[in-house]
Amino acid sequence: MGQLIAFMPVRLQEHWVLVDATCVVEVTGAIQWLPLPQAGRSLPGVCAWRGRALALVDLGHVLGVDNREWTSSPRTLIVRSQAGTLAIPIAEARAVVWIAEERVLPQQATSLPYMSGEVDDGVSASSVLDLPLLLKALGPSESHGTASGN
Amino acid sequence: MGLLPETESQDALWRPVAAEHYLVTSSRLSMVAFPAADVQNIGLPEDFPALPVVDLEGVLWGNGQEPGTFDLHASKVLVTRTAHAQYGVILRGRVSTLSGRNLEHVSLPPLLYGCPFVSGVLVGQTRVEALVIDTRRLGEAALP
Repeated sequence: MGQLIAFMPVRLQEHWVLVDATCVVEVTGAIQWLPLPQAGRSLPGVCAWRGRALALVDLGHVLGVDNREWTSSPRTLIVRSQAGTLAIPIAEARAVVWIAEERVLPQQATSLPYMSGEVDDGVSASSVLDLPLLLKALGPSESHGTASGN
Repeated sequence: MGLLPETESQDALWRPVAAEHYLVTSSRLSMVAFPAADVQNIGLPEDFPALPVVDLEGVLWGNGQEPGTFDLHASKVLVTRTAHAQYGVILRGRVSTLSGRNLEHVSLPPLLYGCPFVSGVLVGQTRVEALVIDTRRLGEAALP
């Protein structure tokens, strides 16, 4: 068996997405945020975390799985990458799972953007979020609209 | 030294406040803050008939009305200045003060580059209290 990778399963509406657990700093409850003028739907506002201001990412909108205007969620995922720390409202998070690297395959059952692959457990398939790719798309050189890249 | 508006007294619309304070009001769903040190005066529109004005609501959210067409009776004017001009900012919500003592004025995260009129946010222990308005950029962009 190859290298094991730690993933945190998080739910956005009906979709489960696997997030690299080494990027997850914290899972908090609902977070209070302020809308930012001229912000897009993907990055609608700003919130506080440990005395810092974090950009809020509407991941459901970015992935195209939830087009409702987001207002609040029961949980918030705080993730950190080279591009910075972000707050991602989610519906639910589960305990970290360890998955063999070779089980992460190209997407077949799923077709969400910004994914590095999917994991099929025989019952259902979950997409694996490519956080660096997502952050690159949300950065200043890209638009704030709904993502279409993969 | 900045200025504090909104006393209930009829004979005093404002009084001095410490420069580390902020004047805070609501703008749509967000609270916005002006550093008190940037505020020269505040009052009713009829107090400043010759002053060029910026409609904050319209500049920030794009749903404002042309100066002269909005309901001045429901508005206040916050007077500030750039290096070149003194101008007024039309505020529509109730104005209050916020001490900066337990707040940090921090920059926006790099991903949130969209609004040039917001210099940062006031962050408390558990939440973002308000967006801080950059009065210089606001005036430069919105005044003719």
